[in-house]
Amino acid sequence: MLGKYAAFIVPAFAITGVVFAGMIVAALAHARRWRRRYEELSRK
Amino acid sequence: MNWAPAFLSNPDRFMAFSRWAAPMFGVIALVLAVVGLWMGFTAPDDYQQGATVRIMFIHVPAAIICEFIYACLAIASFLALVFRHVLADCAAQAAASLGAGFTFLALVTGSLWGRPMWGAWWVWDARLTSVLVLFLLYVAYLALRASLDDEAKASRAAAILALVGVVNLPIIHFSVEWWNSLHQGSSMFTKGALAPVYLWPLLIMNLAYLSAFGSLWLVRIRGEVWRRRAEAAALRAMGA
Repeated sequence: MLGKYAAFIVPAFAITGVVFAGMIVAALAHARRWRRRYEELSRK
Repeated sequence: MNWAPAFLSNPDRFMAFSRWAAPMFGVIALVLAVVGLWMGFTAPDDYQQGATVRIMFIHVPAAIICEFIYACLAIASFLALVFRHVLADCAAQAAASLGAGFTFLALVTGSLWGRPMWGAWWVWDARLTSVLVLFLLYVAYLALRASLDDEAKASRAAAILALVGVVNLPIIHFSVEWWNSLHQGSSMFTKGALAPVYLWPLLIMNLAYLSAFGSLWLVRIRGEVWRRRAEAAALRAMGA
């Protein structure tokens, strides 16, 4: 389906997938980390 | 700020809204991306671009959204600078890292399309160069915020940088008209320029990227609100 251009199409989609995954993980980890920290400090 | 949306002026209301809105936008983005990609991969090869036309379904939305994110960053920076609105400052900070990610995607996917179509990974074309400048503006914004210990000073300095950088947005948009450019002009909003078989997946992918940004932005702002609350709680604990 991708023919001779597969060498360009596959990396384009792969990099997009990796960057999206990175942005999702980073956003969720950042929010989770600071929420836990706030909850810890609020309990003290 | 009676004209501001209610949730924007009240962090508690924003947190309640974003708690359900962020996952909702995420699910919408996922559904739209699946539909858009399926339509894109089942579309026939373009008579000129061949199968590389499929890169357009991820490149064009990234290129559009990175400009949109900068506009959001600039508006939030303006509100933070003029009205000293904390939530607007959180929104600006949260938008910058996402903007950098989407601009990076626009540059890389464009390069991977350009190599087989133009015969070059990169050319110092007005459109490409102005998008590279946009990426550097995002990086500079993040670096400036990280470089100053005083958060209020960092916020003001970064907001000014963000507002100065707005001048780049019309340059990006009109670069293909103002200068002789290798990059093609806009075809998505020009009637008849794009066959429906490509136009529909492209429109759907644009909406998917927009929803994804909406979801990620809300999560990032929530994280920033938690961070500031945690730091305020830490200061209170130290003072107690």
